[in-house]
Amino acid sequence: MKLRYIYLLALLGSLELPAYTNFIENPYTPYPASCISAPEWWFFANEPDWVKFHQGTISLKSATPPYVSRTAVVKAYRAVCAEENRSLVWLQFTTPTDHENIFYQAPEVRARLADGRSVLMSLSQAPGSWNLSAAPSASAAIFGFNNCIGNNGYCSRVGWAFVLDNANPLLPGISTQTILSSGQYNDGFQLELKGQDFAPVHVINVPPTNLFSHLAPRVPLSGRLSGSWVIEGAADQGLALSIAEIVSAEPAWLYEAPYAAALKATLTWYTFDSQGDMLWISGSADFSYGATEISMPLELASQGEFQGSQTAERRIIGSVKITGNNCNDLSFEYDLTELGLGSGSEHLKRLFALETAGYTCRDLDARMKSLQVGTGQ
Amino acid sequence: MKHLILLATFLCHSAWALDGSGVDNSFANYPPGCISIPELQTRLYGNNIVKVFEENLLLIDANNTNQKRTAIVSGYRVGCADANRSVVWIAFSIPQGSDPETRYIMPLVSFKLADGYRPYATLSREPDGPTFFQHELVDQMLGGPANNGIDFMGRKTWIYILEYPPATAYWDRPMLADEYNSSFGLQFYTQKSIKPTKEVQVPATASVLSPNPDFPLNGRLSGQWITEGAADPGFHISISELPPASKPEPDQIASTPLLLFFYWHTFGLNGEQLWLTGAAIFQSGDSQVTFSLLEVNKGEFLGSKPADRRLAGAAVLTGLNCNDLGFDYDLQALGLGSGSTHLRRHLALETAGHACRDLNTRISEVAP
Repeated sequence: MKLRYIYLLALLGSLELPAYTNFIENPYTPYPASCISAPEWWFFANEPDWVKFHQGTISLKSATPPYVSRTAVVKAYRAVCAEENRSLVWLQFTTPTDHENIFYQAPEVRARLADGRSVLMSLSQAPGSWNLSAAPSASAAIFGFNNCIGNNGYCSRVGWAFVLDNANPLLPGISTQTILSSGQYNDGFQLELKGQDFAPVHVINVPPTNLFSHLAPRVPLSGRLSGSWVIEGAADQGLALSIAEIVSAEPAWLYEAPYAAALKATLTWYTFDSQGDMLWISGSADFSYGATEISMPLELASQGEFQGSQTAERRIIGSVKITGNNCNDLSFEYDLTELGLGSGSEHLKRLFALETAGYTCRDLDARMKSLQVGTGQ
Repeated sequence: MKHLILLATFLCHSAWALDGSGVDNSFANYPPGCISIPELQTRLYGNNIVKVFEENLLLIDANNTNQKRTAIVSGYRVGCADANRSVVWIAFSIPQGSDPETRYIMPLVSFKLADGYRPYATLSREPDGPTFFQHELVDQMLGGPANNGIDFMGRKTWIYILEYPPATAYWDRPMLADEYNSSFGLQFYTQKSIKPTKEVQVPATASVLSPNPDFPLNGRLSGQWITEGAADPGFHISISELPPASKPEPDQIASTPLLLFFYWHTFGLNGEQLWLTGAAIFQSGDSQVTFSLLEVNKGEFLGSKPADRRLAGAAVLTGLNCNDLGFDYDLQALGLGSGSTHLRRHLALETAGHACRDLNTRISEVAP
């Protein structure tokens, strides 16, 4: 009998079943979803874009033998997003290094709002970040262990960072009335962390997002930017951008390196040539999570056959560089000198502020606002 | 040691919730596109669901943990449009005549796979519809009176999707779709039980179901598409959602109207470049949409001069599966005739983080 199974039998006395909703994203995140479309390291690479506003210690209970309470360091940060008055709240727990084989139960986290309400929060991870007990449990969360197992890279990790998030309103007990709006999330509020059963509640005062005097200059390029884009003022023409995953035939199942496929951007530009005739040009580029700009050559296909197998003549006629500024703004530098169309720098905006169904880029508040004011931004 | 994490997960009663809302489960062992419209699943696929087991199961009474009460556990395979793919539903029902105040503690469920591997299963809820608010976040109980006033009084059945959790430290190995769609065992453990209190066998998908004939058009189909055999031309499909004018209640999410933007870049009669566009608004759950195709010509590169627009024809797009769209077109006005073909994904690429098919299928497509 496998060791795991013995443990299973021994501990069945208090088993409960976790349930979660992993297949649909939370449409009520209080931050722009694209703001966490890069691995954890990306956010802490540029200090002006984050501020540490709290550091203290918290007593956590271990979830496995020996059942002891241990003191961990908790740090809290705000990391500014590319959207106005939007930032992420990060909580980072650093566990002691003097004990091996200890698993810590994450604290219960509640937001105390100005009106006195106490709102249960959840903690999310950025894609491509650490991947221990990633999401399967809605009833409990465990993190932290200091021992080495095989060669999976466990040994050095003692810090675990989470994004403070609304609990998914699709979970029982949570509703649209019991989650933080983007406005509340970006205002100042108090966080209450409850760790070890009899320890005092650890209070963190979260400052408002306006502690930043700037926006994040870039947003990582991700699938959330896929869709239809236009150049303001350019009539009857547009671009289709698709950011897709390149699946590996042999994905790594490494615990410290959660599955994050390489990305491929493909672009088709629907426009007109110097004579006003229809022109479509296309390009593609491979890149990794976290990249904020990509360059790609542009190809022209000509003398093709409608629905036929005759191969068109293809040649590279220029290049383009795309930079992610925010969910609704991409910088677009092109060089089509060879076609007599010159070169230049433009901004791409979303067509009708539409975002991929079920996989939006901005938070709901921002999207509703754009609809109400009819700006398409 | 990694297994301890699994066990520890079950030990705790924290109300703290880890929520993977930012990302999909890359390792979902069913095609995510198969459950994109759960509320409409029964209507769409009502004739392609098969019950594969039904058993009595003793569960702990949450109000008196020394007491066990009988519930009914049923398993279903629900067909997907993708060949040899289905979603397994696990339904817990309370027998007629049971005390409506009784609350049950959920059992643990583990797979029993052919090679002896017995990973625990995760039961996920559908995003809305009849499974909404079906049990408490903290205690995972079934039944009983209103949960803080929000549960549905009188609920008798709770349905979950059976799946394998995303990559975590307690993995021995992944369990991908081929295994999920083969025959496997399921074991149910109630609290305090040493042995499984019930063991059932789930038959293979192919032995009980055919692929669904329809597939709802949804955002997971967004991206680049091509026609097999046609060199160089291509299509871009963008399926978007309009933000609601007011904040919706969660059970309204699935009814958001969707907007299709369709681009076709191809060649005209003389091999010259031609691009056509179309758009249509449709409802979640629709598997077919008809729209006009416009030719846009004599425009100005990056200029404000309006182009000449004319109706070039019409098209019908039909969802067949994650990698197959039926495409009927009529371009007789351009002298290009009419036809019916299938669209395939360009390089099998799917929107990053929002894949349509399961990983197993996607890997098999790129494997040598």
